[in-house]
Formats: sequence, C-alpha cells, structure tokens
Amino acid sequence: MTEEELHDAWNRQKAAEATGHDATTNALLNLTPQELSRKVAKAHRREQRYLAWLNVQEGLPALGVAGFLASQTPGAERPWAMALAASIALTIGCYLLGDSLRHHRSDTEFGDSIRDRLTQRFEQVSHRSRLFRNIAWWYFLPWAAIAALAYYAVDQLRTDDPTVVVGFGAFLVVMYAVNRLWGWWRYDREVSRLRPLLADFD
Amino acid sequence: MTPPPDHHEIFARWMAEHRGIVVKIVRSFTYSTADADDLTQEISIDIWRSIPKFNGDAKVSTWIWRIALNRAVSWKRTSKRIIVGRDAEDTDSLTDAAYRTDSMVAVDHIYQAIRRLAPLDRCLVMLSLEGYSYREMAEVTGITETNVGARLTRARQSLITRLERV
Repeated sequence: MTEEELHDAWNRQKAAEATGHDATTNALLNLTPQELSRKVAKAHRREQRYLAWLNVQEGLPALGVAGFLASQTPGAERPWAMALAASIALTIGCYLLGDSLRHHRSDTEFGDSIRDRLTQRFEQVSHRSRLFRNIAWWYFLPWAAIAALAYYAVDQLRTDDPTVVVGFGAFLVVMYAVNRLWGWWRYDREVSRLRPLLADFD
Repeated sequence: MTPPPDHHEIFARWMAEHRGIVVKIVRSFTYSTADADDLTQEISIDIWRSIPKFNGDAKVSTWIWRIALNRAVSWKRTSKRIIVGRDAEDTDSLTDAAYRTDSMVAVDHIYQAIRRLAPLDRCLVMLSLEGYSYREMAEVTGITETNVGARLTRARQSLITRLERV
C-alpha cells in the first residue's frame, strides 16, 4: 500500500462503515445516542460515587480510632498518653484524607495536551508509589506508637505477656509486607509503564 | 448532581455526529473486544464530563479527538487476552470475513499497522490522516512542531513499510 492508497483508504472509511464494524465488537457504540447518553450518565454517577469513596476511605479508619481514643481519654489512668495516641491517629487520618484529595483521583482538566495529562498521571502514581515505599515510617510506626500509648494509658490493658507484644509486632510486619506488595502491584508497575511513555514525548 | 437536560441532548448529538472518531481511536488502541468496550466507556465518560468545559473555541471534532486521544494514551489495558503477534486478529476478525469488502479489509490492515506504532506515533499518524496541521498536532500532543515533523515523517515511513508488506 502506498501513501496515496493509505490516504484514500482512510478517507473512504465512512462513519457508517466504522460503526458497522463496531456494531459487532463494541456494545456501547451500537446503542442509539440517547441510550448511550443514559448509560454513560449512569456510569459517570457510579464513577463519581466510587471516587468519592476512594478519596475518604483511607482516612476514615484512623479518624474513627482517633474518635474512640479521645472518648476514652477522661477514663484513662494516664489521660495525656491516651490524648497523645488520639492526636497521632487524628494526624494520620487527616494526612491521609488531605493527601488523597490533593494528589489523587480528582477530575482532570480538559483541553490539556496528552503530554500534560501523562505528566499529571505520572506524578500522581509516583506519589502513591513513594507513599507505599515509605509506609513503615508514616503509617505503621505511628500505629505502633498509638498502641503502645494506649496500653500505657489504661492499666487494664497492660500485660506482662510477651506474646501480645510479639503478636502485635508480627501483625504490623505482615500488614507492612501486604501493603508493600500492593504498592508494587498497583503503583510501581504503573510508574514503570508510564515512564517510557512520557519519555517518548521529550 | 443531576446534569441539566441539555447535557444529555448535547452528548447524544456529539456521539451521533462524531462516534466515528471514538471508533477510530478505540480500534487503534485496543486488541480485543473487552478492551474496546472498556476504552469506549472511559472515552464516553470523559466526553460526557467535558461538556460543561467546552466553550466553543475549538471545533467539536477537535475537542473529541483531544479528549479521546488523551484517554487512550494513558489507558491501561485490563484484558489479558492478547496473543503476541496475533493482536490485530482479535478485534478485526470478528466481523465475518465473507461480508468484508476490499476497502474494509484495507482499513483493517491500516489499523493493524497503526497498532504496532508507539502511542505518540499513533496519535500523530491518525491526526495527520485526518488533515490536522503540525501546529494543531503540537497543541494536542504537547510536543514542539519541529518534533511533530520529525516524528511524523518516521512514523509514516514505518507505517507505509508495514503496509507494503501486506
């Protein structure tokens, strides 16, 4: 096929032929425009709800724990320790919530170039990848501190049984490993996919 | 939030008039039916979301090309049903071969060749086949006009070489 034949073939590609092809391969474009409009509006609403949920879900458990610890502060033998634990949990929750809303899953601007869009996506994914790589420092160590402070604050919770400490430590290590694996699966691989794609635009 | 009633109307009109753009891009970026459905849905949602931002500065067709290409380039394939070296057969062989005209087969070959190009080259080749200028292609892709010229020359050469083998 020559350059001229390529142009001819492309230009002869009527919309009807294109949709005819797609009628067999693409259920969405086989709908009438009105049906498609309804379906897309529904999918958009579903996506918006999902994004809103994703944006808040990460911070909610920490905020819930912060509320619980704060409510236990007056009854604790060492209220300052419980209040400190609550404030750490509150900090983690607010950080997660704020970070999620600031860096992730927001609507992209339309009219951006492909390069802008890719750069934006790359930065979002790289940020998430960094968060997961450093999750021990900003998430698991603070949680270990919260647990230690809560145990210290309430005499009833204090125990001399080393298996409790070892068990909790093991739990944190397993959760850390699971999170690192998830971070690799979800974000590191995406960073690796996007990096050469973006480099192609330089 | 419920969209205003004319939002549905505008979307339906755009898709009626410009669905060919979506089809072209989806065919150039997907290798299976499941992928085609997935990408079509994502592009359709982007077009839907973009309606309030459209201020009429650009032609609707240019706006849709831009949105759809943006989504297609960053889109991540979810389907695993790809057999290396047989990718083009997946989407293009679904229509019964007996009913395909010569021009349809030629177009299938073009898409097979386009899919083998790098994503940026696919965008440039399609935009150039649609008659967009270097300046417009530079705006859509975010690379310089000089770079567009150099990349496009190489991409078209590569495309023609592949098509000559058909």
